[in-house]
Amino acid sequence: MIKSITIVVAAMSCVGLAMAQSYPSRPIKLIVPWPPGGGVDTSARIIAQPLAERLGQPIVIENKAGAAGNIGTAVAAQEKPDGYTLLMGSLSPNAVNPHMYSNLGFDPVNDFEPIALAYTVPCFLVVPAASPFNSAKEVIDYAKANPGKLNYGSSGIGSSQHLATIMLQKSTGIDVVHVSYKGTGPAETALVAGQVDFMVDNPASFPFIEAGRLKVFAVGSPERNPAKPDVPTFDELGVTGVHTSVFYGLMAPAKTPKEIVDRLNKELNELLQTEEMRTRLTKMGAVAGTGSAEDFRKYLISEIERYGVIVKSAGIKIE
Amino acid sequence: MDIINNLVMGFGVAATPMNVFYAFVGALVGTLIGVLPGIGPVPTIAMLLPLTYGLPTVTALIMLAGIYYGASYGGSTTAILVNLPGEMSSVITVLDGHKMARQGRAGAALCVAAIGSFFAGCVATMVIAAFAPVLSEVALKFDAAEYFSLMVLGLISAIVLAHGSVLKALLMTLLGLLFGIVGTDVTTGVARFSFNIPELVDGIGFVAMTMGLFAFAEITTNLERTSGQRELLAEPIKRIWLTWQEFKQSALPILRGTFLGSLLGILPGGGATLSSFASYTVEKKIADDPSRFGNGAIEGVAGPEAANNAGAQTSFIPMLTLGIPSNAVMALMAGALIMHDIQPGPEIMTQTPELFWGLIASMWIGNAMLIVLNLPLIGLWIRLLNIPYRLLFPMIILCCTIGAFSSNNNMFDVWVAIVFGFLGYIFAKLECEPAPLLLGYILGPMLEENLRRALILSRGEYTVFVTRPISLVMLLLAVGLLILVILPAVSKKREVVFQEEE
Amino acid sequence: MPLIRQPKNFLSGLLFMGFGLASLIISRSYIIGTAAKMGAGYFPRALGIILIGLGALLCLLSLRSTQEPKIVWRWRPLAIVLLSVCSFIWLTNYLGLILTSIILVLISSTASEEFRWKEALISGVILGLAATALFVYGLAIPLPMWPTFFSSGA
Repeated sequence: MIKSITIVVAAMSCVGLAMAQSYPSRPIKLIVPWPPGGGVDTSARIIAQPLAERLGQPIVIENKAGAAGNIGTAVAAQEKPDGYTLLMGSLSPNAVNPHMYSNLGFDPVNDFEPIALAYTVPCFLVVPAASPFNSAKEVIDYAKANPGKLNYGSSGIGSSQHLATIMLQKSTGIDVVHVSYKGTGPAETALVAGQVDFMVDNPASFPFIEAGRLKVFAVGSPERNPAKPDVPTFDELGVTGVHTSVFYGLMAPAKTPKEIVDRLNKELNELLQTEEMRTRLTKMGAVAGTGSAEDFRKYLISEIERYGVIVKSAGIKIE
Repeated sequence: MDIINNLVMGFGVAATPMNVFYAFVGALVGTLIGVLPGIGPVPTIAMLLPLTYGLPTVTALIMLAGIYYGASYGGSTTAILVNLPGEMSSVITVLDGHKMARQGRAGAALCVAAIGSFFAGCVATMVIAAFAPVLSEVALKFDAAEYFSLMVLGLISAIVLAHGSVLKALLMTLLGLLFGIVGTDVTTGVARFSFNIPELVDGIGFVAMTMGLFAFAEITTNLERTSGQRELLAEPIKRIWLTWQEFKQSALPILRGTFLGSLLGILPGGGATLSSFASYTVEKKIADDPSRFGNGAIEGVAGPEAANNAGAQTSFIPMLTLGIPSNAVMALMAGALIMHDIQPGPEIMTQTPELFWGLIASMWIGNAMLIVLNLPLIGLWIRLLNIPYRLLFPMIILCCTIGAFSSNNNMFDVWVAIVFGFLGYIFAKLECEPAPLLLGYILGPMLEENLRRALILSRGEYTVFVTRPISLVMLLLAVGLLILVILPAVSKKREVVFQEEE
Repeated sequence: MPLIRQPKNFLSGLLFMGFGLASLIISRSYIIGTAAKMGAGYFPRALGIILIGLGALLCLLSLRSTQEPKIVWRWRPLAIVLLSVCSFIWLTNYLGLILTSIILVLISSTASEEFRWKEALISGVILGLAATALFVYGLAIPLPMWPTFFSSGA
């Protein structure tokens, strides 16, 4: 009995190996659970083209937007685990939404085979150029002295900007008022115009910093960001626990053969190490991911847990 | 003059044979997909994006921009010919454009749409070239309170759209507001009216809704008619060009529409969508005989089409000067820039002036392409109307169904279209017009969102709406418009009452 | 003279009141909030009340004023058109776009009394092929072309 199972398993792994060697033999579908043009879509497009060249097969992006990424992610979870359907995973659907939505449609851990972390982009504390504040400390001190006075913007409830500010509030005990916008564009417009006082924004705000329309005071990652080496981390400033990086990673439906996962992991990691990719990512304020599929899984699980605590403490619930 | 120099540089960049060729390809592809009901520029641009990686940045953007204008023009064609608006702006074109088509004046309607769009496009391009940086600062003056007041003004003008009962139009607008707030509440994150359906968390899809309300409902009411009345051409086509009389009638509306559209397009928060409504309202209000509107008034096509195109053009301003995309197409173009390793932002103009001015020059080229392309096509489009209705309607149903599916690549949107097809039939039978409903649907979420945001920012002080000058002016305009709308209705009621008593 | 002289307006009024009532019922669990922190329930409730109020006004107005003709409902074309669209939802993923288009065209064509088998079939085949070429090839809309049971999902 045990023997026959071993044989079956051995036979199956042989099939898997054979599949991996010929893989990919036809175009690969990459599901992006967001509409074209957004951050996740752009990230998928940035890696899809050169990755397809390495694999020798086209990667076709399929946008399946809806419910903050939940719909496309749920669809990807149901797809055949043959390596020909992949998912562009990211922070919201894969780590935050599981705590906010009751009707998710997928299991963030068990339904997926993480392949590789593509890159992460940390958040930065930014204020309008005309703001009287000149450092993170001034913002925090003012907010402490004047509870409920400062407004901060975000691209929506449960967005990275919102959650990062909740972390900042928890860490410093400040009381600031949340003003939610429909997307990063309107939120940044309001910030540049001085309609809100500050935002813990992703690097989408870089062009405004360079144009002198926003001031940047701190970065919410353990290390300083290569794109902004002069900007101190929150930790350096004595504000602990404000770590929010939006991550983008390649995932596959659960039970995708390990050989295929490893192959994709290797190709993506090699791609991320190329000079061209590195300069491009640095410019975007992004930090290239490294490591095995297992590393990505661990990262994912720890992010899911971390955001669970934040979401619960803030009492955010969509349905 | 700086502008002249810059424009010369821009034309130097844009007017190379290759760029002109891609502008043409973009305009052509855009027009063709725009004509297909339900298929918008976004999926097309998304699909073509990989093809543009190999092109120079300017060329890629020129082609994508061409698709954008082309699609918007193509959408008007479908609106006029088969009464099917593919996007918000064509909802207005339908009102009089399709009536004109049924009267055998489809040629004139398409023609005036092309000319109006071209003129507006040219003017708006100059506006961008001359004032883009200044205007983007104006846009930043618009805070939540200003947007709220603008939306109130927009809602009041929704009532003007109706050519039937004012009360019903008001109720349809309110119902539109209700449909508009389905989905995640921006301020609190609560998914309202979503019945635990993930697809409804994002709200009701616009494309699916219009496919149902217009296409399916229109087809079923058409099928009820006897076969003679059913054909789209009630009268034979008279000509495909404008008469001198029609030309004179359209000239001023085009001018006013261009002005309104250029102005509203600057606002990143959905100003461009309002422009065709605003123009229609203005034209109907200042007309000697408002009753012609909704029955094939050429002003009702000329003004809104000009306004729409001007707005589409000036909506590039926030994108070009601040790097903030004002709609989905702009977001895709910003994505295209990133793919070409250019970060969209306020520095585009100074760091890559050839890109900035090249794109502006290409707008003019794109508009010229559109008119060159579309005037000859009018004859072809009109022939579509000669297809017997029994063959035409299944074709429309098929296109709309696929169109509804393609908006999110999800069958759920087809279900939405079915539900709204049913509702649309009932509305048609009860003589409730769908246009005000759609305006309410578009404005509702913005109205609520900005009202609540303004009150959060003012800590609950309602006075913000009247202490801020721009907001106050718009509220006063809204009140004025409301009085204008209600007065004739009241006097008409009185007449009815008197008649009964006699 | 009947009590309801304008059935269209009367029914419209009832319809709007129905929507208003539904809005009130569904939104009863949403928080109303205060001016400074308006909740998710404020707007739906306000809309519901206004819809009911104005809907009732419309009903009342339809009781007097001039007599209007009755509404003639014809459900058959509507049912057929909507059924043909349903067929698209149910069949496309199994039969592929070409066959489904033919079925959709055949079903919907029967809504017209000028329906002819042969003509509808020919137009269905042409439209099916054209739609596939245009939407699946041209615009890369993710719909299967052929019945999926022919190939194993490839």
